[in-house]
Amino acid sequence: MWLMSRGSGWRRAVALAGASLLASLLLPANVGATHRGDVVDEVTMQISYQSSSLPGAPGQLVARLQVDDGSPIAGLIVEFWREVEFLGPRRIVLSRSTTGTDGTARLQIIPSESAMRVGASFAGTADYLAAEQSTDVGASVIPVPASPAAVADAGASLAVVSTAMPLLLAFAAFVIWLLLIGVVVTTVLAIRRGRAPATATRKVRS
Amino acid sequence: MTDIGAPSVAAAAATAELHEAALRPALKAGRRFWALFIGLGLVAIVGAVAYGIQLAAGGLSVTGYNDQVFWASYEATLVAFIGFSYGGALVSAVLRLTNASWRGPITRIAEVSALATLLVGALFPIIHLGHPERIWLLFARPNFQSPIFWDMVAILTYMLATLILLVLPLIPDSAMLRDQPGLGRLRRRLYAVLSLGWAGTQSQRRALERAMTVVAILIVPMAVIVHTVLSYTFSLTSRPGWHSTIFGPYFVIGAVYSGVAVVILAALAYRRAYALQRWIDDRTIRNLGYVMVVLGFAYGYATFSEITTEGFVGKQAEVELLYGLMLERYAPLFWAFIGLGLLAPVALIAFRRTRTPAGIGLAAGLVIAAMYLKRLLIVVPPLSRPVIAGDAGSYTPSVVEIAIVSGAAAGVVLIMLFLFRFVPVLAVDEMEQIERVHADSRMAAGPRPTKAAVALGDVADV
Repeated sequence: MWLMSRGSGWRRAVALAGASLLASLLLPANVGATHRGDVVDEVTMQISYQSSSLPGAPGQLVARLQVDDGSPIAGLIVEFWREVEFLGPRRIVLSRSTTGTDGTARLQIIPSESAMRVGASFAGTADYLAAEQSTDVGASVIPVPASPAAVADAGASLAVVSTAMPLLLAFAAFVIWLLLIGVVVTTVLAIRRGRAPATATRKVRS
Repeated sequence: MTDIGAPSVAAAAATAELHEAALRPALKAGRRFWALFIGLGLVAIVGAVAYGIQLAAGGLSVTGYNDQVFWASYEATLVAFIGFSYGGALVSAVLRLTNASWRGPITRIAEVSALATLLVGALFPIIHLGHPERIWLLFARPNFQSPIFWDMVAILTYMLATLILLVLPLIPDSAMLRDQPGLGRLRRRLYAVLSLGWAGTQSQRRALERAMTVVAILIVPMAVIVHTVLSYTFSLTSRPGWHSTIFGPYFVIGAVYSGVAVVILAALAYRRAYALQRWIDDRTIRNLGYVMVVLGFAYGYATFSEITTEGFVGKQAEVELLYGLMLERYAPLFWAFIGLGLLAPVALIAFRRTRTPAGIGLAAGLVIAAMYLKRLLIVVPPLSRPVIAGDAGSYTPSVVEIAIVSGAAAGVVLIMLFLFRFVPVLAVDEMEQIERVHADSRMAAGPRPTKAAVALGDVADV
């Protein structure tokens, strides 16, 4: 009812919002394109995987962005992804990272399979064209967590759980058995005790 | 006098009829009963002989098991039978706790089927052992970190609870049987012992109801635990296809789904064989069918969730497994499970035309068969794909395995037939109590206007 009574004003508000949305979508592109006199640089992306010498330790996936003359581009966002194939190819985004002064963005990964297709994408900006590159990486050994010290710490704290858990479970099982047997025993006793009709018992008591 | 006396005579007749109906399987063993009993007995004997052959051969070399597929039909049967049992116990316990008025005619069948399937299912870890004499090591040198040990603890605890769930409501029924004419002396003595001197006094009723509530409350989480622990046997390994967080609830839902189907089939079989349609009526079967459909949706959702979660991450091993399951090697079996175990039962119960006892029975039969197939699909495909290296394995059940599993299935029915020779098929006392409560509430509410009266606007005058 409130909307109906203010029908014309409401329509104006929607039209205004639509116009604003359209302007916000179009304007940045126009502004960006004219920012450097309509010049958009081509970008080259190089991707490499530097595996660790320690088995199971994370390797580095490095993506480098540079312009044609080879100079690095800093401050751009690179998206790292992994390609999977299940009922058609699909990408799973692993992380996003910003390029440093040397033009590189890095991601630490531990390949969990013998062959994985990983890659990096730069979506492009008003000044630079989009770029993308991928590579195959693989695990030669079954991955284990990186820091042996951290593993030892975690192991020490989990040791308490691994000792306590079976005891707790055994205690729970014991309590349930006790409860079940208790229920049977008390019920049997109560039924045997209650054999005399209740009215007769009351009469005797009174 | 006649006004008061007439209903009480009718009630007495109804009670007598109920008592007679509940005892039909115990007292009437016709030719068909013995034919079935002997037939199933023969299948069970063949199964026992097959197990003897397995023992004589020194273990599992006579089965279709191999280096890759080292678990198969015995594990699937273990999971399936414990699941059937869970469904029976849960139907009885939950309907009791929710005070569902239609539970009366099916609780006994649910409890007996729960115990029978559990007794047979619990044998399968032993059947799987090449050296069953080593079972005592599970007690003598338990490995507390192993899910197998906790499986044993959980199953034994659950067995005790299921036994109590069956025996406690039998106390008043045994008293009824004790006073029943026409029974042999041996039976009469047995019922006298089991009835514990039950006289139906208030204090006895209170004690029994309290105990039943405690056991019903306990059995629900216990059954969840049993099936979760059973799923740990698979999910606590690092094998792709087994190592899944959804396995606990997935097993629990699957268990209740197939268990309800067993209760439906057993109820329909006894209803037909002993003309119990008046007590196990169409409404009861329909209600069980609805429960089964809801569980079918839940199991379908869990299946979808499992496949989507594993497929989305797209780990090589899991994707290979899913492709094998859905599109390649095991696809016919997988889609047979989806079609016959999930879609067809839902369709049969969804449409009014097929929502008949026969239709619901067919749906239940499909669920039981398809869920057994699903258990095989849970066990075998992940094993057939080698984790380290080597060729993919394959599995074909041997004659010995088929004989043992068939013998076990026959054993379940035999146990039920045997128990119902001594135990009333209907929970007589419980049904009478429910009827009494309803009669009291009807009396308290006073006479209700008829539909015609409402339509004519006479309600105010009534």
